[in-house]
Amino acid sequence: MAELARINLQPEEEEKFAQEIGSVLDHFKDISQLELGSVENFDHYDLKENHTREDLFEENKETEKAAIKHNFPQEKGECLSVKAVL
Amino acid sequence: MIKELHEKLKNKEITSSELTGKYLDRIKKDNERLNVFLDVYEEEAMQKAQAVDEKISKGEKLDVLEGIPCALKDNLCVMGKRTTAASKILENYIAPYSATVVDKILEKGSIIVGKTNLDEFAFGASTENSAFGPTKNPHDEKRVPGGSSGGSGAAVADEMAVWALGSDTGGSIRLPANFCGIVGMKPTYGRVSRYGLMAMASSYDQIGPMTQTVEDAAIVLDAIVGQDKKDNTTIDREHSFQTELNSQVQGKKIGIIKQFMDGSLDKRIKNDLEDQLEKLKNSGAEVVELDLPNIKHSLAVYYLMVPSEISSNLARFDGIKYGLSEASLPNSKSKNILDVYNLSRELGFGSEVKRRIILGTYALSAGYFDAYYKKAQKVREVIKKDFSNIFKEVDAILAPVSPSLPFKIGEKTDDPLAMYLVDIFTVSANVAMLPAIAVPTIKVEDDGQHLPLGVQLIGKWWDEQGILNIAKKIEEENNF
Repeated sequence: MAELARINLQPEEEEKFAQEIGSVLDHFKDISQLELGSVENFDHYDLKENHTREDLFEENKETEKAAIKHNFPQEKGECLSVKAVL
Repeated sequence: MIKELHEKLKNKEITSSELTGKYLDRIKKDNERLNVFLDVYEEEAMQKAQAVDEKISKGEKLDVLEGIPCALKDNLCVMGKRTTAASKILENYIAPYSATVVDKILEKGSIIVGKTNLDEFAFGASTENSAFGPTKNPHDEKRVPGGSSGGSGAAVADEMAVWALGSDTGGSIRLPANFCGIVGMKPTYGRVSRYGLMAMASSYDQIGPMTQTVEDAAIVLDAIVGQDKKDNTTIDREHSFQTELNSQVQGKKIGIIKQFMDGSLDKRIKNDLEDQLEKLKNSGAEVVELDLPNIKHSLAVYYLMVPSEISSNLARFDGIKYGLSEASLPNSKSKNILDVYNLSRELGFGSEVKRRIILGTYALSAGYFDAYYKKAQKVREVIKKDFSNIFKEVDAILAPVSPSLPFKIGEKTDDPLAMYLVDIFTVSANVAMLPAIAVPTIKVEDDGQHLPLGVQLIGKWWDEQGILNIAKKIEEENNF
């Protein structure tokens, strides 16, 4: 699971988390046994229209670009530098 | 308190500089000891205060929040400012934009004095999971302030800020409000924009006010609500909570959930709850006992769905675009991109964060998805329907906030399940997306310290006004 979650764990952490997570799942296991059949979605919104914004292109302000680049862990010139994927 | 300060500013009895300076002095005096603030904006706060004073001297109109110092939980982005979520992985992260709520309060002229401590990424009920040390409860420094908005709770309780914003996913505003003896409100899901709030569980998170009084909560709520095109889960419902605030409970039906009173609740909390019910009855309210058998599954629903959403939301912290990156450290061991992900997250996340991500990954994984996450979603809908039926009979529900008084620092850190069980009374409101408010009532003595008690009110969807009004009555009856 840690591998799937992309988190490296030390051996003692693996053991500890396995035990703790097991205990949590055990405590909540009753829910997996509930017989519910089909359940209707309950919506408290009463929405009459779509509230998504229009898909418009907007250029980032220079200040925003600078702030984003400031956070780059590694850079090469103007670009974000990352290890090769392939 | 906000209105009184506003009048004093308008009448020039105090200046915003004096007021802000007073709160900054308090921060200097107590912050090292209580570890409330991760960042303090002394210079900017005083500059803004001076600008407000100039406005007052010119006779210009002031907004009710203008010139008044506030604090923000450090999972709310403020452009150009460090926003850490109390995590090593974001220790040096500078937000490139501001949260919508931050823009709104700045537009109103609020003075942000700093960013407050929290459980890392808001995962916790005690503010002990912060990568930068726990916050201490101002009422007893050996105890927790509650979490995850413990820094904001302590800031208001210790008068380091007049009011604060927190976030509530499973009780993270209401529990610290309860443990710190202040008012804390979680609005209906969809009332307040989550844009700029570092996401924990996107179908549970809400931002809300933490204040000294119920009236202050109404004032702050007015400032932060509203539809936001950057968060399409928000809608507009025109309302002024402050204007409509009253303490009339005559004829109101207040429900008490049978299942909440059956379990292991501290006797003092149970007695206080019963006293509050009696007071409400004496003021003309009717008390109705409610039977909600499915509510016992709320905690399971929460701890299966929320970690699942967490595992998805925290995938973005991968050491690539921002945050701590193992690849950029001297003596880096990263040979490939997978190493960068795995090692950055190993170094950057604390134990509770890792635990919840792994739990969520498990609940979403093939073979377990149906039994856990999908089942939890279905049970969530059942619980919502139960509340819908209940609210045909009552106007609001009175409930405990916590099963115990504020516990000692370190008391529950070795037992994650014990910590999760602290949320037993708060998670239902998040599961059902209902508004809920915690209000302090009395103080009790415990181990030589005077500790606050309080109750919470859970309201119908979009009826923040209803629970604010009943909370105001409780506040008046108790004179905390």
